[in-house]
Amino acid sequence: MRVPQQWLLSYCDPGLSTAELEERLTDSGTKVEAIHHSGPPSAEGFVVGLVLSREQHPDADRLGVCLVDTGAAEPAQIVCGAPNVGPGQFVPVAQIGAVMPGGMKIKKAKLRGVESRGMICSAKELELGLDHDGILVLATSPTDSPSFGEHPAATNPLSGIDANKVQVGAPLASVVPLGGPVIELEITPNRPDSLGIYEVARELHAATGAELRPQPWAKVDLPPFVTSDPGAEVPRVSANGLTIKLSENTRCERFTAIVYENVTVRPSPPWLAARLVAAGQRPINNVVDITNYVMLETGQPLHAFDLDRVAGGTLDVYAAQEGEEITTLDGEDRRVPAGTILIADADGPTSVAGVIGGQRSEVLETTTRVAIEVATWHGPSIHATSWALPVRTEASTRNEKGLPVEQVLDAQRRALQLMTELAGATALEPMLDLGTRTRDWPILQLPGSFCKRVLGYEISESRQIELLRAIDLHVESSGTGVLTVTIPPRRRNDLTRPIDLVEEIARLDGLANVPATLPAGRPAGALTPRQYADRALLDLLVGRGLHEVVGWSFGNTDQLDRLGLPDAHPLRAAVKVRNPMSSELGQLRTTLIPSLLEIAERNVARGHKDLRFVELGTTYRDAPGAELPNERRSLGVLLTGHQIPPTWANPEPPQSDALAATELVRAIGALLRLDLEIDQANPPVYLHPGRGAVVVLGDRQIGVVGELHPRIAAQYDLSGPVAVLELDAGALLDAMPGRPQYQPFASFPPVTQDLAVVVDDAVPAKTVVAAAKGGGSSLLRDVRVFDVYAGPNLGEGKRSLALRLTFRAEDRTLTEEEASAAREKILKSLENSVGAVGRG
Amino acid sequence: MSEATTLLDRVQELQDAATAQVAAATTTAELEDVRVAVLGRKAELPNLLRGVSELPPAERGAAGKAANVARGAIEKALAERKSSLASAEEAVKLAADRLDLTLPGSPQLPDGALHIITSTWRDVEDVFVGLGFSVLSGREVETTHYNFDALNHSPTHPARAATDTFYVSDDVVLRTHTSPMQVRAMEQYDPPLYVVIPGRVYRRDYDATHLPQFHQVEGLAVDVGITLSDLKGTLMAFARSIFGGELDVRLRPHFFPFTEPSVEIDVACFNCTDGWIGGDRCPVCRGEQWLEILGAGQVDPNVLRAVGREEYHPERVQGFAFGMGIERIAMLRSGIPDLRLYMENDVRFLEQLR
Ligand SMILES: [Zn+2]
Repeated sequence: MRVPQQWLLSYCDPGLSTAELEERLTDSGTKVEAIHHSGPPSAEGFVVGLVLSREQHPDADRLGVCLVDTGAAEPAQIVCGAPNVGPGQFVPVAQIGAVMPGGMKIKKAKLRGVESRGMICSAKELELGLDHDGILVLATSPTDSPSFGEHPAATNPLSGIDANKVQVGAPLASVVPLGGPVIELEITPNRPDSLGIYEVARELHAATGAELRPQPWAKVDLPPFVTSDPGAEVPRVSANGLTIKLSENTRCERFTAIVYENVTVRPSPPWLAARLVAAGQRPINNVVDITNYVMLETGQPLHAFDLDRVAGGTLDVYAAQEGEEITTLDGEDRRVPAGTILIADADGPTSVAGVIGGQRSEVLETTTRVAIEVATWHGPSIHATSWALPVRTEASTRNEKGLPVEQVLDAQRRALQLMTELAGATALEPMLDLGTRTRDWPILQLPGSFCKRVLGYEISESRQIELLRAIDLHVESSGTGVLTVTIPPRRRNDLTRPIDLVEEIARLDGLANVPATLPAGRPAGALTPRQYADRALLDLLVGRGLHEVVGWSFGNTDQLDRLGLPDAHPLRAAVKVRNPMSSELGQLRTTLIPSLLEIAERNVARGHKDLRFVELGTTYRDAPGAELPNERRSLGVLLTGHQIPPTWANPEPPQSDALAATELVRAIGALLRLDLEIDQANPPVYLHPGRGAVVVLGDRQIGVVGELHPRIAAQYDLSGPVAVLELDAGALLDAMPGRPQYQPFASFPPVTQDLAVVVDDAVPAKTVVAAAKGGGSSLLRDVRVFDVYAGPNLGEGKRSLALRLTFRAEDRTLTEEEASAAREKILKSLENSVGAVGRG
Repeated sequence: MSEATTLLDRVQELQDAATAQVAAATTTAELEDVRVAVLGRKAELPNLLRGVSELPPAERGAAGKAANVARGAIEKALAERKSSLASAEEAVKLAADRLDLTLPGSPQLPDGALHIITSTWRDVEDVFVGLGFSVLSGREVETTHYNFDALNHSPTHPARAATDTFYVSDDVVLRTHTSPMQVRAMEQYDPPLYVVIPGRVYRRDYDATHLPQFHQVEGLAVDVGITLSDLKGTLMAFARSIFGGELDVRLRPHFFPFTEPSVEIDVACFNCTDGWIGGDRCPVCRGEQWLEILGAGQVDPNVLRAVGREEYHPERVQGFAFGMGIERIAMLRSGIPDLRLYMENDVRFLEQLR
């Protein structure tokens, strides 16, 4: 909320600089977001001038050449384009050197060949309101041909201007407000009261101790009121040519209206317009401006109807039917959802209650009879309407918080005062008033020790009382250590429990007083073995030269299409987001691979070719029937380009391929002490059919590994093999065995022997190794493939695998003969189990 | 002159000659030739020794001794000379076996790196583990019950709006903060509870200072007698550990639905603690001298009640909670100007901030 500093200080002025005000407000809980400036940066150079004459510019039809008496030694010649400028007018003059709002500095200039020394200003140029006719005429002189140095008295001053101050050469700032700092506050949702500038002043009073002046409307008498017959099913009241009916009376807690006659609609005086402009509102006319001004001042929205344009003189508050439409003040035709609270006249909806008025009953320059409505609405309903339309207004942001019924009269009082003063209006008796006029004032009991219990430090009872009273709470001390605190209506929704009072006391006392202690009972903290392993998993891959990336949790169906996934594929079970930022981020990822590919594509486009990426993050699968989708911690790896950087010693290192990825599977298995198997029988559709596999743990598929199908890689502009690996890291961590236990080393040395066998190409190496292990030698401890060979001498479809067999006995040193016998036994077994033929 | 005297003289001559030859040898190979010549099978001195047995018994002793002494002296000279020649030869050989160690090492293995979000995440976790907290993680797709209702958000709280929060269905959202785990943790574990919950969260915002997905660390301490002062002390210890130095922290009143009192916490700018010299204003804090790092407060009694467990009744326990952004901490510490860089995953970014 934008709060013009001068406006704020008119209620409570602690005599502080803007920076000090900022600090006090922020420290006590009304956070200053920014300091702006309204109007000219400085009042210097702005004076009251008297137009002596206006001649037509010789070369420009629209320009006049004026002589202006600014109190200087000689009249200033100023070229002015305003149609309304004329001799005898007192006008605002920006002299040479003055700086306009926005930073333009006034310099001596030639306009179409005629010298101009200064500028005659309009209200808009000074941020004092709207331009109506052109320049701002502050007052006129009795003569329309004054002479230089004559300095006649000002007459017919503009509304709100003191004619005595309008003198030739007087500083303009002494006549009209010339802007100043504007404090932008962040008002938190629990403090709708602070959406009224007077209430901000109350905070300033509490934070500084400076005097809070009485509410400007405190002494305004309202007309007596009339209300509905208490027995009426639909509350209804009529007076002064206006009938109000509450067909919807549960969500309209109170509805008041005062009817005004003899209303003169005209521009607002500069002081009011300047405050509205500084607060970020557009001045329109005095009646509309009064409703906005009073809302900003009191925090209570209000609405003005042109009563002559209220058909039938009836305002009926009711819940909208399906399909109702209204043209709102902003010119939009809006269809409102059923149940929206509307106000209708005899011709249909004329206002969206609490949110925005209708165009039909708008106050115009021709308006003479006005009804000012101030009502209390059900906050959540206003909130729902505001989001549904959608339209957010100053009124809806206040009404949606649920305002106190009592506050309604503050706004009626202030409006009555201003309508009388600024629009010459006559308020008719009585005021129409339907609904609840007051509610209970909550009473809270605050034990004196409660503050210390929550805060950890002492604030004396007398200080507690002082602070609570500063925000207008009624506090009585029982003498038994318990404070009895009565909450005024505007804090009724916020201060409901003793803890809420503790917050008020702490913030107003100053949080700088909070000491720093550590919880006395805190235990020893530690990561769990699973959490350590999670870190180790990533560290392993980073240690092997991979860059960790962080991808989007969001994805899209196009990514899954690119992988060529059939409709029923499990990776298609994506969780859809109803209101995504964009369709590209329309659902949650089921796999990490697309985002790894996109990251690789982007990096390749930037000239990086050798890429090694890992991501450890969540993937999501829709779980129909369950309350929430499945989330799993997934590990994704992408490798492309050289395995290691080319160097002088190895200018052409190998490319990352499927085996580079399966090696990572092995390393991960070793780290987590899990037997991870590669099963090439049914590779996933998006992998190279000959170079893809699934990773298996026990009898469970736990991931995929291999080279991406080249056709898919090409879609991402990736050439050469692209190896990928995706594992269910959460399942791996869950399966990790407990802490390893020490096993004594064998004390007798091993004997190694090599065995080369020729097998069919189709027989996987792991099958041969497994067969060797199962080959009946109890002495065999390890089998490794150390060479693979295929050549014409072996025959079509055959290859040779060289196995290194390690034998050891636990009770003796093996002889070569024993090992050879075991080797022969294994060879025989391989001949039978996998059709192997020994190769010497 | 006896035969023995002659023999003794000959021994002396042979020794002198051999010693001279040893000294004259310039390579270990030459020295080996000398050794064969003076002590080898066909050399004179060893054969002289064999001849001692033919001497009269009375003379055998002196002659044998002299011959052995001579042989010992020659062997010693040989050994000394050999050692000196060998080390000179080795020095020459090694000097020639030079490798340019300013060439790149080989084989060069690639350098990996953690993403700065993960390294910052771990730093934050580690500080709180040191302060007695355990680490939990929570789900990202969450019910509105845990994300809003149980956290005391009013039905009209602005965060519920579809403009701010991603919805999966009417009552399922992408969590907007890590706070839902507060209630889930209290449902699952008994007090005292000291936990931090890092994780990914989502809000509908996307510009240089907002990402639709980002990471937070939630903290929750619930025990008997946990006060606002404990919150300040804990977070001061955290800030000093993460940003270094004896930095001060400042509490500012604020509003969060699930804490009461609520505060925002600023840490004194680590970049200009001792005053700012240089350009216009400190670029880290933009001249404010304080850095806003997190929101916090005392757990609202309504949240404790929402747990629905007698162990967490607000009359029995109280606590504090806080939430901070990991990206923001990384941004402050490493001077990252635009949050979108985190999501680019450009290798140059990843390598810089390893
Ligand atoms: Zn700084």
